[in-house]
Amino acid sequence: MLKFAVKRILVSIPTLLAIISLVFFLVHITPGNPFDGERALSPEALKSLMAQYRLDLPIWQQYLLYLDDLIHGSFGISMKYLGQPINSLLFPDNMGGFWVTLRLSIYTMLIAVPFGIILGAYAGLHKNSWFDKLVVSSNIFFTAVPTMVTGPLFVLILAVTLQLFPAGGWGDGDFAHLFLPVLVLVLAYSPTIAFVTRGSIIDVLNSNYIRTARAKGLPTKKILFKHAIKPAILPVISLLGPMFAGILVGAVVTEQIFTLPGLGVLTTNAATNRDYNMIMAITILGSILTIVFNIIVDLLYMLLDPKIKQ
Amino acid sequence: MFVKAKNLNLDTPKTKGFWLSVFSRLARNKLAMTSGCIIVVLTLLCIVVPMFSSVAYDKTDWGQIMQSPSAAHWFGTDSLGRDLFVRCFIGGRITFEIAFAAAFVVLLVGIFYGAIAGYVGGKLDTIMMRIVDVLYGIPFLFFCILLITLFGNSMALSFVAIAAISWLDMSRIVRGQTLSIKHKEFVEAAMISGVSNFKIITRHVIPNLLGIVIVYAALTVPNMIVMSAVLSFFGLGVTEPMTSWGLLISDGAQNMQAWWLLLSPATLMVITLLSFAFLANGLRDALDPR
Repeated sequence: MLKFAVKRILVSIPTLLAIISLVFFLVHITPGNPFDGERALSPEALKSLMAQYRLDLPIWQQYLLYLDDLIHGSFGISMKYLGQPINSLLFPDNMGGFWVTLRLSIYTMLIAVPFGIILGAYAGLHKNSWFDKLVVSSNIFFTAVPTMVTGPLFVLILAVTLQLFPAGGWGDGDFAHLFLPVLVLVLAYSPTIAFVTRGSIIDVLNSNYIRTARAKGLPTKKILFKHAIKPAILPVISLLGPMFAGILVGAVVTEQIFTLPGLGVLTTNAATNRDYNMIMAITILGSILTIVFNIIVDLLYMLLDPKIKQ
Repeated sequence: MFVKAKNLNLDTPKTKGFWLSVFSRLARNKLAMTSGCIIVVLTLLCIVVPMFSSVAYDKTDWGQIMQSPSAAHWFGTDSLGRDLFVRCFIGGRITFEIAFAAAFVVLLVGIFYGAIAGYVGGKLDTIMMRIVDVLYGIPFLFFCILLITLFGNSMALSFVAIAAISWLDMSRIVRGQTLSIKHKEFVEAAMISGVSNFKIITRHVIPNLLGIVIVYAALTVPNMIVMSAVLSFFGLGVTEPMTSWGLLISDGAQNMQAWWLLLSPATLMVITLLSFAFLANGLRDALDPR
């Protein structure tokens, strides 16, 4: 078990290294540098800038130094806010940057997963009921229609017309300000979880060992909670890994809709200002999160699945 | 000898061809057929409306700012007094153009990559699939924005960036399918008779992937629509005065008092996305009846 965990973590290191290298070389091999467009810099100023950002070194040296920075937990210096370390922009002391995105993603996960599982289990137990049909059709709807459409529509109805919630902004992270963004994200992801749970509950209930349990006269409640829940939840857990990457990106899009000061704003600013270091940092940070989360999901799966355990 | 075999074939009783039966199954699926018709009508409208409308999509009219829908302006006007009806359909045209172009590239790259990896197998397969795994680890939006930041912001480049990160699913699906086709008798027969690998891939493997590719194409186009719209939300891709559904929606989201600015493009996009979803469902059922 421990061996599996260690192996799983070791395997992901080359993947991460490959991603970092890909991003780094893509950025540094492309001709031109972010100071090209800068209003007439004197040659000396340009030279000192290039030196400050190590752009005057050979590329392999830049690469090694970048890796060295990353290992020490630093993403380098912003190219837009000259001299400002990217870490202080990404992880500010007050609420903002990555913390906003992380909080949105975590709230979404914490609500969407149990919510989806309960809805899906109920729908699966009452197959072909009106509730079941609602779950199935809402899955079709919310998989097809993205948050960037549902989000503004919710704002229009609940915030602008009915005036129930503020239309945007972080406030001080209070319930009223967070309700709509989290609602939009939960609605986008819980139907998929519900749909997968529903399918796997139906499968499990049709399996031989549940039929045996029934035939032996076990009460339905005991069958459900003792025998059906665990195997039915396994497919849902394997779904969560890829879903987290989606939620992370979904949170960034949702930030744009509700004008929250998270990674979304940093990404847009970086893109318009050609702040290469910043956009590299965000891409790499997103990849690290995705990989770490996938490891957690795999370990969780292993804990629950007796087949891998031995 | 071959002529003789051909003649023999003529005498065998005619069975309904595979594609014919697929089509008849699809035709019986009312939801899928309606969706297909909606997509065709919307596509035609996107081509025709901007061509024959009396006002240009970028014609500003300072006397007609932020007008709600009326007989003169069916969808109302925006903050520059431009007619939203025309803008919605020219935006739709751009959105469809990007989506179809990106979907085409995605299918092409995904099919060849997956077919080669699956067919050749061995070390090459391992390496090629590891590359896919690595790319999967990068959140698509950030990578896409990185590409656009690097290579400049234009419509053409935004679709290249979208396509560059979207072929991964396709290649995985195709690879799996190829692995199963590879062990079918007719492919083994072709291998034994010394047909070249390239020819086996293009003549035997890829045509047999057609079913799954069609279903996936119907799923890829709406995905590309969403991605190009998301990029518009970040101010990337299509730029003013040209427009796209994503740009119109993000514009509408910033002017909530004028509800028509949001509702018109959002409704069109929801209808389109749902139509594609139902069509894809119908195609899957028709191609793989169980």
